[in-house]
Amino acid sequence: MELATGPHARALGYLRQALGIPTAQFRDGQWEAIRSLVFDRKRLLLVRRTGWGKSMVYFLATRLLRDQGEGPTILISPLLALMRNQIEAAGRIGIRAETINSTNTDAWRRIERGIREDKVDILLISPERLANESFRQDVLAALADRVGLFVVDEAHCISDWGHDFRPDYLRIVRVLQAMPGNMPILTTTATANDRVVEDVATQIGHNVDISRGPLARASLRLQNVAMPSPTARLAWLAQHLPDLPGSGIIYTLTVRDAERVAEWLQLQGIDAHAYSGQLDTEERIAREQALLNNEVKALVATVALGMGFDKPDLSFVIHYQRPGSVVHYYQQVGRAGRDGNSAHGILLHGSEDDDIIDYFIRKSFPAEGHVEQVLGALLDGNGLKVTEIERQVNLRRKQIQHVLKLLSVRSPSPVVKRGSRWYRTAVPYQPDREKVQLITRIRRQEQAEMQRYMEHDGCLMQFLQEALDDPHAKPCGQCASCNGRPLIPVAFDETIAREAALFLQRSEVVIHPRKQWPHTDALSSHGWKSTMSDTHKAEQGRALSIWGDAGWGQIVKHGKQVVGAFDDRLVGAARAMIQERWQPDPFPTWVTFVPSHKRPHLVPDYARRLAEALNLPFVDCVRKVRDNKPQKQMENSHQQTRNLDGVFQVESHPVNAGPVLLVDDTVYSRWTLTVITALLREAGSGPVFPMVLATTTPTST
Amino acid sequence: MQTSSHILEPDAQAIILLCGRFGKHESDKSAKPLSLAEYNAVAEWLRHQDLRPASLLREEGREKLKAFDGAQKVNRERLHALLRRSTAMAMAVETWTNQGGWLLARSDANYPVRLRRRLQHKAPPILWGVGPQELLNRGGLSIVGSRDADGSALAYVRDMASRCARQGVQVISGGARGVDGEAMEAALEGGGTVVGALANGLGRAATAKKYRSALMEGRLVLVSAYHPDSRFAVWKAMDRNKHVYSLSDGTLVAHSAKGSGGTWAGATENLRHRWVPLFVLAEPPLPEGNRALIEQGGIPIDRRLLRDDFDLASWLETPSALNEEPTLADALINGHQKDSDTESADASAAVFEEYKEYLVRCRAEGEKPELLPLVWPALKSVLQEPQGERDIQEHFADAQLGQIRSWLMKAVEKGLAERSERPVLYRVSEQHARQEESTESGRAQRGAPAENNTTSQGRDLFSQG
Repeated sequence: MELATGPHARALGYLRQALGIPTAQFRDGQWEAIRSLVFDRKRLLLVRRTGWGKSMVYFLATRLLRDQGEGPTILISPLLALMRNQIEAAGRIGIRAETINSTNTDAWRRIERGIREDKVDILLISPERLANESFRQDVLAALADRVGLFVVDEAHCISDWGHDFRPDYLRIVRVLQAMPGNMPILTTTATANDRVVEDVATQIGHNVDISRGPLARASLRLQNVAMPSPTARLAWLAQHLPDLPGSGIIYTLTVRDAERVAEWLQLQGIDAHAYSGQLDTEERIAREQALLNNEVKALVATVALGMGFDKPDLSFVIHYQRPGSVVHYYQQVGRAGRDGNSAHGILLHGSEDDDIIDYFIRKSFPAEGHVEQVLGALLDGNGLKVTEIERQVNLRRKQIQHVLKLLSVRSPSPVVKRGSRWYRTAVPYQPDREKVQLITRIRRQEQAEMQRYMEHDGCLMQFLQEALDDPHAKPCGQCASCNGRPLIPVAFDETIAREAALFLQRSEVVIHPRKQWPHTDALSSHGWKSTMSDTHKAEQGRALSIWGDAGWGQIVKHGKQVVGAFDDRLVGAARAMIQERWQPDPFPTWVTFVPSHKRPHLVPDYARRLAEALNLPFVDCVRKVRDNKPQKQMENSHQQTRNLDGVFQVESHPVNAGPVLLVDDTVYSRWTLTVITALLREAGSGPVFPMVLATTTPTST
Repeated sequence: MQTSSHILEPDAQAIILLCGRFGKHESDKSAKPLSLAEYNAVAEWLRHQDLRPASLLREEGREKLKAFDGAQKVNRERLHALLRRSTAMAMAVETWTNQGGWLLARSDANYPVRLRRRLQHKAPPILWGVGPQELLNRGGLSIVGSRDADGSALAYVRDMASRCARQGVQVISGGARGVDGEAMEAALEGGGTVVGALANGLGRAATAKKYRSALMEGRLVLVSAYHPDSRFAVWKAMDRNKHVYSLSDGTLVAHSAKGSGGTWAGATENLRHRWVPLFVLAEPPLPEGNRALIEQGGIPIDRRLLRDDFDLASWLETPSALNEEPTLADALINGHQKDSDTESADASAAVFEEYKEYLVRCRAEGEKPELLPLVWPALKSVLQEPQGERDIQEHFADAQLGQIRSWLMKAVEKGLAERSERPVLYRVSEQHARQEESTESGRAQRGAPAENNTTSQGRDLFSQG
């Protein structure tokens, strides 16, 4: 054993100082971890449940290494910042922590200076930053020369078998693999089954020690509720959410569902807000803060509210839809009750879950054709910007970026980015079909396991632990199964259900007007480029539904694809939406429509009936003067606008100077509406309000 | 291509930590990587201690290092500071290998045999490379020459390189403009294999369009002793010469100035060390440098090597065969020594002359002189192809972007250079290029002294824009 003045005693002293508890002791495994990092410069993988004290391991290791004159610790983590209580604990032992990520660029300069003056002991950076070449060169250089300890948090993201695989982590793995043996490396995770642990350990390199502990979460009370229809789930939420103590998170699979559920709960007088990756950073932080401070009942969130979020007193996590895997579920539900107080984890699941998960599995790899298009463009060029690639390939910008991202983390990679330009390297590209198939198969197995969890009638926590290969699994004694009856009643009120059904029917979508013409000459026959003048811009519009969605979306789809005409109910629904909820201002004084050669009667027939219902004149003034390809096949702005160049004309004599409602059946890129709006305005019309029956925009899944 | 090229042997890791530079932004406080001589001293010490470089990464080596008593400017603290750069090194290695590149350290089994055997302790401790490593052990003919080689020398080089390609003789060169570039390009076009030993980092070359297909086909390997982002510097070019020579079975000097310049330095260094046979192009007009190299032991060669029935591969094995009959080269060397220097007269000397006169004029007229006329020859050499201002800046070690921009604008005003928009690119103006061409051919016909060359150029250069 160590002497009183030995490292163990010193570390224990620091632990007590950091926690502010003079009698504190190390948790099982903590000191061993610290010792192997500081004195043996080992590589270590810590698999420990949330709340075990992983951060204390790197705080104390950093303190001891700094005492020995070593350089600062670098901590790669998707967290946006350490928690306030963690920073305080570190501060008590003189560890100064700083964070650099894309949300705090104003602070970079100050932090860089701090690094150069050796005033930073732990630097927390996001995986995206480490994967960024210019960040490495410009910001990290001063630190990289003397890092004393390298820590990677949420290490399960390293494994591409893992449910949370992130491309940026591949670059981190390669940095770890390239690291000479004199650098201590700590990797940590709270969620990993055997396969993932093994994969992470082999990827990090030889001689990795693994320290693993039990994953059971004593404070969590689990319950599963099968409710196929969204109506039932909305009604259940509205009725039972107010009875749950404290505040929490409701997870949905899609952005659209997060917004819809939040809107519904608000209508029901419950303080819930949507949260997704589509919010801007400021808004995200504000909503996270509101939840942290218990100022809202719930955030209705996609997985975007994920690893970066830590609220120890979160008192429930409800899933509106079923996640893709048990590991995923354990991780999300595990955000509740970290402070040790009792918390609820409730899984609702419905009939649409499988479709959505299938969609996610399909789109996780770009089509080979997409990859070939992008590589082909790069092969001919001497460095291309994404906008330049867009001109050469018929892919959405997001698809191009997805392809480039996945290519750039291949090892070695067929592409490399310098500045804002992408270059084709000499590395040959071969599609990795076997791996794609293997990973897809694993995703399917995970999906099936999740299905078994939903149907499981034994202890739910035990099921989760066993799925995570936790040898300490045993019945928890407090879940719905162990209890022998539901923790929260499964029933709900019929009147609320009827309201929910109506609500779902009128899930309308705002159509935001485009504000810029393309920077290319795609619309040269109109002379429109770059800046769009205010007199060309459309007003905010509305889509009555989402294509094929429950509610009107199904009826729109049926009308267009099967009947060849739109049902009168869609006229009534649109009239109600326009007059009662949307209330465009100034209110349109006439109605016109987007003409089509393929279906010459479908839209005008509907628009005429809608005009009648609104008691407005119907004016046929937009002409399609040239055939073009279906706009839906055009994947990016350049292709979409070029496909519209000179296609439409507006006859000026019937155009009325009043505000106009511009009707079409579906909206995809918004370019058709944008172009016709500008033509209408040039022909002398007043403000243009686009109205469509359904949006087919890809993000509306 | 290996996918694990980022996982290096521990010995290599230690050597790279000690000697490698990992980026362009190294702070002044960073420990200075060991020079070749310094590393050799440390390696010597390690051998004495019965240690390997990798030992420095382990507890045992760190302990022993406490007894390190210093060698040259190397002390314990500096070694510690260098060895602490593991994260920086891992990131640099990962970045480079992720683009398909690789690194070799002198300790690696795959380190090129020719470099190790010929250069010994002068072999670079680290090689950054891209392309098939095995080409580095294949030998071949290296082709070098100064940047101002004339048209006939360049034509010879092209012809020679494509013959090499056809006959399966690898071409090795330094990647510079002029002779190097012509040789590599012609050999690649001819379907041959090529080694480029570059004086700057490989970052740009590795993704340049002109090399891409050859790299993808495995017919080109590029190596450099410097970090991929490292810029060209004269000392690096001097240092690189020995790599070009020692990777070959023989080196052809197409054109050399006498007594100065990289080609001269490289060729005489090779003659001193006898790394490989030195062939010197001896076609008229014979540059003074070529003549001097032949006098010092270079083997004269001429167009007879370009005969269709000439077997370059076997000649490279026994390169003396050509001396049996008196050659055109012999005649040149023995006969016309006096007037051989007119053609190779240094154009830059003329610029200096002209500039002196210009300074005198300025002083007389009380005007401040411009620097552009002095800088122009350097800019011009870069502007043969359209280039962006940043690319142009990249060529020079000490130029600020703003200064480059202002010179470029001046040059455009004076009609020396042309500027195209979107993207903004500069190149030598057609008008200027035509003027130069006409004076050159005129000079060749008249045999006029080179000074006249500057008159038309001089008008543009010294005119007030």
